[in-house]
Amino acid sequence: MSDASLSPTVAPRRFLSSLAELQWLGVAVILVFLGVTFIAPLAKVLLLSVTGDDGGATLENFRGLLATSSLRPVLLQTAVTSLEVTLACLVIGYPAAIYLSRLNGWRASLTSVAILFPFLTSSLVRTFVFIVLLGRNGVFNSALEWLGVPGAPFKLLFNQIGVVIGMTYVLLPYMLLSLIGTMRKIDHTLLDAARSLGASRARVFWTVYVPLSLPGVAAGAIITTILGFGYFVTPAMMGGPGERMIAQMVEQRILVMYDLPGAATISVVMLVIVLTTYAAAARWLGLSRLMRPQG
Amino acid sequence: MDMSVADTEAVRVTKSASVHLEAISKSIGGTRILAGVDLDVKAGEFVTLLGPSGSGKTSTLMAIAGFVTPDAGRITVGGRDVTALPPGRERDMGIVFQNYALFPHMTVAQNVAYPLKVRRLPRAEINKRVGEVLKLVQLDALAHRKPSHLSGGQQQRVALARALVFEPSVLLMDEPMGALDVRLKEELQWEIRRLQRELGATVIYVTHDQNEAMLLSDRVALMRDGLIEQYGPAQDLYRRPKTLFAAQFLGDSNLLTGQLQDGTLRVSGRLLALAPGAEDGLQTGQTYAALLRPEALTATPADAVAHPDGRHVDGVVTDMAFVGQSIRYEVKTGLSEAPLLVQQVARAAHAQLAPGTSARISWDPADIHLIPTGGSDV
Amino acid sequence: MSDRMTPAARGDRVLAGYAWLVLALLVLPLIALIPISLGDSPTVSVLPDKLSLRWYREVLGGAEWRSAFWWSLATASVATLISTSIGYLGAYAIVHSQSRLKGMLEVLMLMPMMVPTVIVAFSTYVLATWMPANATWLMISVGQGLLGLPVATLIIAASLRGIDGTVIRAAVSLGGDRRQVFAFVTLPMAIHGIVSAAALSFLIAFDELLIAVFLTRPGIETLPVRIYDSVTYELTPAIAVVSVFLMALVCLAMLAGEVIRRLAANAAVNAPQ
Repeated sequence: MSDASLSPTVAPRRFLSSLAELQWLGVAVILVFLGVTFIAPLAKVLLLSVTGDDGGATLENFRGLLATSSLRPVLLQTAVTSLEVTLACLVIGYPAAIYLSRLNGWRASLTSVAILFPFLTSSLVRTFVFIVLLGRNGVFNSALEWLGVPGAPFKLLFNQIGVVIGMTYVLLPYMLLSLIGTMRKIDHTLLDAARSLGASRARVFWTVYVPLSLPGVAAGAIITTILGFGYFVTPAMMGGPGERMIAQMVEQRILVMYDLPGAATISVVMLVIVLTTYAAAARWLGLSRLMRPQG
Repeated sequence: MDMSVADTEAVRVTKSASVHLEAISKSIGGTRILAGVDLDVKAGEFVTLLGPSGSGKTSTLMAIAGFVTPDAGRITVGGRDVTALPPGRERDMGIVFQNYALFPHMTVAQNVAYPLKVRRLPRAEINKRVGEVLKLVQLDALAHRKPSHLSGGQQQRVALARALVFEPSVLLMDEPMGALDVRLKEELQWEIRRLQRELGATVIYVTHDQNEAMLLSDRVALMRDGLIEQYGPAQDLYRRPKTLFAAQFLGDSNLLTGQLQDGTLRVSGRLLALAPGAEDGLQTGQTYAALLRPEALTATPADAVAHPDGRHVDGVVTDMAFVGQSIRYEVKTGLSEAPLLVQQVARAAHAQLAPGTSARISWDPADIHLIPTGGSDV
Repeated sequence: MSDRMTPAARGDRVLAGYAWLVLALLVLPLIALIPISLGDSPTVSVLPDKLSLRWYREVLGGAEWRSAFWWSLATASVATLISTSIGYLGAYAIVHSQSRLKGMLEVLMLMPMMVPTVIVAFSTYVLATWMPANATWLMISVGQGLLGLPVATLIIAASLRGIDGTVIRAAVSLGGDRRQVFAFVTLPMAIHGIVSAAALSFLIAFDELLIAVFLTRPGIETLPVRIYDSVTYELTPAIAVVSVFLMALVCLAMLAGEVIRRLAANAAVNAPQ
């Protein structure tokens, strides 16, 4: 070992500056890689959306899309579906998360395994099993018939109900993870304090527990809404014929119609909606973060 | 601290009530947390539950608050049995929690208004009372801040204001100073003391800090192993502890074990003189520990003055330290295994005794308090 | 005393029962794939009349499923390499840089997660048209690697943030050179994050459908594409068989993650000397 490396001040400084060089090298690699593989093609997509048949710049694509095609109903259908799925995830997930967030020890481990296992399993697999379960002769309808529910068996596949059920199953783990993460951090002495100050159980829940869980609700709702908005697998496999969701519309333009400018135009519309939602959410979540104790 | 009388009058706790605990016991998972606690708190009295961690002081407080349901026993407040009442409006107790438990999503004013809002008081009345109580704890300027933007001391005052604003019959405080630094602690202790005296509130306070307990309380209940070891004014606990545990928990102590023999205590072959009447009610021939507080001892050079027999002992200084206004010596003597602790006011006129020199320790027999050893040695 | 607790306690019990029911509904459908895969007839059923390994033989013996599996393994492995290494570089820069531009770098790294998958797939499709035809499978990997990149970056950044900077400074002051500090201090402390990131990006790439659908061509078909086509055209227990294999893979990944976490915990205790 040389003398220089023993010196406590010189060695770290040289070391740290070499680290800084390395860091810039790393950033350069990232920029080149993402520039070529992601930014450039994405720019090309944007460019395609404003390129006319003659190759000149135009907004004709957007005008045409809004005037003639079925974009508006599909957009509406997509938005409604993603909101329905989000609401279903929230309604199903919130009460469960209240209990699950209180667990510890092996019960907590079991909970994470039970959520992470479906979370990590392919969405194709999860959608496939729901196609089997929701079929006319599937377990679900058989159970309903056995229970004597009037009207059973229901048609639950290849329609809106099926898509919402399937997507709710696929996206529920996101919602649960987000809710449980936030609820675990709620200080339960706050609930005791509210009780001691004279509030009823229901009042404590609505005025203390719910507001403190809101960041988790917001994060979970935004994730499921945005993922639901752009979702392809489940609607494509479980939906009825035709373009029900906007992601399918892009896929059809590319693979079936070879209409790349059309696909690009729809992509831009999607992108604007999603990024606007993100921006709004970042503001909102940024504000709600202030509500958390001690930042 | 400029405060007009009118301000305090507005939030005076008019219904401050007495609290009575009768043989409260509680086990959790086979472990006995409370082993039959009896406690009497008069209306308007400030009582501190003092004890080491695990002694049951917080469990006792939580039992009074209603968060711990006793297995057996009775709790009455102002003569009303509250044992089975849930915490909250019926129980009517203001609680200041250890970490303050302020609602992070509400402002200071909203936190303080919460108990009034759940009682559905009219808007105007709520605003008036919140304003008054915030003025009382000198936080009116910060009413619209969130708790996360307040210092620890300010948060503590908000918690206090929130617990006082609905005029509870009892105020319970669970180590409210635990997280504060020493200087702030002292300041707040004086303020709590002032508020309590002005409001005439019944306060039950939990702490493990003996100085805090002595400063604040009318009476101190020293707890150990789920029982109250001794209950009385702080002075009594300090001067006349009934057990060795009490003697050692409050303040520093020198304990000299010996046998009581006609007016004297025989310790390691020497006879300690006792004040007249010190042995009243005690049994001759039994083993007792003589408690001598460090400040009751005087250390002088060994050859300085002659003292009457039985009121001094000679030894060797093993350690000396300055503690600000006083000097502490450790002096090894033949009286006990451990060196005697001596604490005396540091005056320029006093000769300092360097470690290694011999010293004479003297005392007044009136300062000796005898404690039954109950068989167990110190 | 217990009387007054009853309504609340009953409410708690109802809540607990409901929560366990939700967890059961999350897991049971996947468990149901096992009996489905053991069916004997070409129709899918949760309770097959006769149990057999017929469809396991069909899948394992069929060249199409096997080739799809190897394609998925190949593209997902390369994709994992891409997202983990680029993710590490990005995470390192984000955690250790004081530059004001690091916020922009962070957004850039997270972009593939914010942009809908179908658009990432579209742009990868565009990218592939610029590349020679025999690089198609590599472009699938690149696209899948992009999808795994944000998650990998987030996980690795979290594990790097967990490393106390003073520990690194201490290691340097004790005379370690860059390679030694990385090998004996940084890596053992970050390995759990790196392995988790790799495992997660592998699963993301392995399950990815749209990019592979857009770039697929005769001879290159990944497992998800094969499943997607099968569901659309011929719903047989073969899909359940493949699903069971995929779930076994997930179990393996979760188990490996747990083992590595424990090993890393030990290594972090023993390594910096």
